[in-house]
Amino acid sequence: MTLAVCNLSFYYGRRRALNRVSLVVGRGELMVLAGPGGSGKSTLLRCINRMADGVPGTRLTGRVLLDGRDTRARGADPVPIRRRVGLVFAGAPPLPLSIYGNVAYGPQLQGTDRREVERRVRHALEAASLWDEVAGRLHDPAVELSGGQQQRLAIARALAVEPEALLLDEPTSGLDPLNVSRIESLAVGMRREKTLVFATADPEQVARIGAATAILVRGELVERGDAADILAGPRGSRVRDLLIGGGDGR
Amino acid sequence: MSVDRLALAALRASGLLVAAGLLFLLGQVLIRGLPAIDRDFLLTGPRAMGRAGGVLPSLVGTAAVGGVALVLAVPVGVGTAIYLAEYAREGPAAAAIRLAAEALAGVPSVVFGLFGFSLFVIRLGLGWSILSGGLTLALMILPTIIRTAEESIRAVPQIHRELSSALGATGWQTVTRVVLPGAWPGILSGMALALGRSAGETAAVMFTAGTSLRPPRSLLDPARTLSVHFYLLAREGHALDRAYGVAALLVLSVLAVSGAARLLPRLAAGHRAVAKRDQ
Repeated sequence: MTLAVCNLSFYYGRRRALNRVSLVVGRGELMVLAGPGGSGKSTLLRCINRMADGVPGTRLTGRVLLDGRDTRARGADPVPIRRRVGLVFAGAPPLPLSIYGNVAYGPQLQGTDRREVERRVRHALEAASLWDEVAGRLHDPAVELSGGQQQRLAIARALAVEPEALLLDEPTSGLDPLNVSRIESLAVGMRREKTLVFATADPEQVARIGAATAILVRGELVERGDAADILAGPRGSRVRDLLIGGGDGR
Repeated sequence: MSVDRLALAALRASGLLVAAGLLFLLGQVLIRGLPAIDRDFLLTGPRAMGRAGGVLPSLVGTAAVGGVALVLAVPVGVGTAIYLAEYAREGPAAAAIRLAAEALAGVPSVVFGLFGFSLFVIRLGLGWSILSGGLTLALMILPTIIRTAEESIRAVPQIHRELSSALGATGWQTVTRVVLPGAWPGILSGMALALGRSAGETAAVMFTAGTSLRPPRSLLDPARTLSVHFYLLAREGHALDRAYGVAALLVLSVLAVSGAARLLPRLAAGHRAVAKRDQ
């Protein structure tokens, strides 16, 4: 799926969280969306799959296109859009269900038959490299998993819906280095099959993933390009300052 | 003594006063009432207008009137709570519904009785009956059901709703799969509170379910609930031992219901976890 954001602005009341953001992520591409805390990354991801819609006091202008079709065209239903574009929230707890129940949740909503649900759960847990750790206790409560496991569970939960695009909102924040590198390689590995957006506040992570990168500061895209290019030389130190200093060093 | 310690002592004293008041009341009722409760008391009908014999018809009547009230009030009340908590934008409509529920809660029960009498008993021709009493009580307990259900629905973490929507759930799927299961224990304890209130209600039921001592055979038969029975016995004044027996039974059943409401959700949760492990 090709995902295009055109001139998107978003307001919480009078506060403008996004200012005329435009970007395109092609089929099979991974884009890193980097920005300091509060720069609007989560808002942008939520606008893409229409999770930001309908909250009283908010306003959105501009468009988000999936394969050229406007997600907010008259009469467009947000539910199928969310099934096509998965979103993994930053540091969210699991649903109050078993491990199996969490991953099966999405497919079950669509009335998928039991066999297929089981297949998808296994497939998604394998893809999130969690299967080996949980295979023997699928029916235990998901809250008993460790933080890193819960984060991979969140990815598996989104994958089980079989979305065409996946938005990962700071999926490694607060995790230990082993889990960080696991999730980074997961994301890099998935790029061939899915359109991916990976939001992060960590310049080192931008460098490690080494993909097309867009830098978001105070709701505006201020830099874009290949990770290696925008992190090199004097431009690189400015970008690092933006990410670490929250944009105040501008 | 420092002000701090003085305050602590005063607070502790008020707590103890509450406990003492409850213990005294319960003790009084149970000491005077328990001796009257035996097999016959529970399993036979009254003789000599209740001065002798048992209270089986009233026990059945109380359960029936309370059950009808719950069956009628829970769907409407929980539905209203879901609407208010999940769908309604804060505005005139939601405010009007809340105001109505609050006003309903403030109406004295004898007024409910009069209203139920003129609407259900007379106008709709249901007569003095379990159905009339249940309908009247349903109106009375509606605010309790709405308030407790809305509170427990709002207490479900917002992130659970967001996770559900992000996985492609419709609003209604989120309500039935995430919100209601999370709110269920609170809704259940609200139901117990309401059931306790309907068991203890006298004025509203006397006008609508009647005072018949005969065992009810259908929802359209009149029934004398335990509290009405207690009231009439106590007013007569010459069957006080029986009256206390009824009071003790009433107190014990209300305690049992609220105890069950606290235990049931925990038992259900424990059972679910075990069942899942066993799969």
